[in-house]
Amino acid sequence: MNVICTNSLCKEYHGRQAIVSLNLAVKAGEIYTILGPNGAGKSTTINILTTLMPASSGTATILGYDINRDKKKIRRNIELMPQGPALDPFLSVIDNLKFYAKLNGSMTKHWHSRALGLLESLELADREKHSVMALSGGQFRRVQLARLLLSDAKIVFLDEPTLGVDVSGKSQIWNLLKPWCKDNNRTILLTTNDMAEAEALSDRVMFIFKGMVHKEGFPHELKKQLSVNKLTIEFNEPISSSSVLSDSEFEKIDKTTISVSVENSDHGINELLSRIDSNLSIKRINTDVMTLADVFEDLRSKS
Amino acid sequence: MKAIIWREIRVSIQNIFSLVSQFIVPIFFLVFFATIFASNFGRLSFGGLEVDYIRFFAPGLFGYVTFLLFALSFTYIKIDKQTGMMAIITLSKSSLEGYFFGKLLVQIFLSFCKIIVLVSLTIILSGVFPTMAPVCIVVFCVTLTLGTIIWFSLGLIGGVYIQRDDIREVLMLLITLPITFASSMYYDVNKAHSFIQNIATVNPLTYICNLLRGSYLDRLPPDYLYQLLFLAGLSCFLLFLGVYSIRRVKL
Repeated sequence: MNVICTNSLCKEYHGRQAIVSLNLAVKAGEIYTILGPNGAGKSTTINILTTLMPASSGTATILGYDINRDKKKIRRNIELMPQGPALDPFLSVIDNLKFYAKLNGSMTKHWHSRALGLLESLELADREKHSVMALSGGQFRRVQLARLLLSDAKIVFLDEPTLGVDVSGKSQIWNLLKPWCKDNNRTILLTTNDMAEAEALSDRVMFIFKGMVHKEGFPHELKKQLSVNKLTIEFNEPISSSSVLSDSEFEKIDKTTISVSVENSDHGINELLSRIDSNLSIKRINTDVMTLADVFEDLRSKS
Repeated sequence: MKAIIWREIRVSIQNIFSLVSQFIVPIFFLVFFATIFASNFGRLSFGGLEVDYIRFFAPGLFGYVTFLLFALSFTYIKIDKQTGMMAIITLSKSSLEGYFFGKLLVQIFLSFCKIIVLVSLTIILSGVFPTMAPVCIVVFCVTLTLGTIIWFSLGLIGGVYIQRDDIREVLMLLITLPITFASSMYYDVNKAHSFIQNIATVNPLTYICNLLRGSYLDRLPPDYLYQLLFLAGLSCFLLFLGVYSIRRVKL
């Protein structure tokens, strides 16, 4: 069942198209990632889908509710982690969490012990009574995450959730987010320009550039569809530049090894091998593991 | 709205310096400004009553306490907008209207707390206990509430529409002195230059101070009902405009 659907969604700002005919369908329990560079229209999409901003044209539904007509019903079922702080700078960590629970009427008998347990797992237990102004960027993001994890929202929108978080902090957030989504059957729509994040979390991804969708699908399928493949070729003897390919075609890794991009087909690989000096004997050919970053670069070069 | 009220109270407790400063500024005004002027001016005549400057000025200061909310709500609304708090409240089971009224209720409560402190201090400094007729007590409380609504709502509307800090600073600078001096906060505005009197006619602080002073000194002006009606009308209009503005805030 699709819980988020958009049909030809458009947004225009001062004569500039921020989103161009966006069609999106996110299934229940899925982690769906919108990937794109800064200014691609990711946050605009989130703002429209969370009913904070009207679309210029097109339609969208969240859990079957129309974003224009059923704003209240949608708002009761969603939660947003915006790019901004979204925490009260004058309140402590625990009071911020309490405030959101009170706002949403989710203060239960066991709320406090749940909140403390969560802060413990996010390594924030010792910060419970500290003002959020005293937190580092990563700790700040983790408090925002704690707020989400304590909510009962069926759909969660995350706008660049690990922006400004260090590497270990990122993996800590990913390790919490994915099981929480799967165990509780929550749906997550997240935006990011961090390919590793998309790789770690996403069931499906969408690439957008300048408001237009360029590719959408499962990460492993998108990688297969890449127009180029990366090969690492190791020779038995040291090579000189002139004996292999033209300089612009390869990158020399060491005396005997080169890395080369080749058209993603049998023909492409055969054609490349035929151009290598026949006196050179090849020891090994490895196909590099392609990542979403490669897909991103491939799409960007085409766009 | 309960959550908003809870938050406002927690913020006041946790941000104690801000709360103390809200009390300290009018207390300093009373202790230093009023006592110094009282020793220089001697007694003043008000509605046929001879009063010292401390008792004359104190009700003007009560009005000023409500005026200070203009800058305060302006700043807090701007912070809530910039930090994304308003977006979060919009998406919650609460609403931005609840946010507006929740904040307003807490400020009305705090206004009364501040006035209790200031009245106590005025009694200590002047040595005179106010004897207010029941109608004066009612007018005093209603005026204080209306004054809080007016200045809080104006600050909120400003915070919703004005984004830039430099514009906010200039605005505060440009309106604070004319609003306070072209009113009956410090002196009897009826004795001022006609140009000042004209400005005072459209200045809500004039009516707030007139009514607070009249009721505190038990000498209500003859047209107090009209003045009260003016403030009530303005409060209703600003409440409406405040709700209208907060519903249209760009999140």
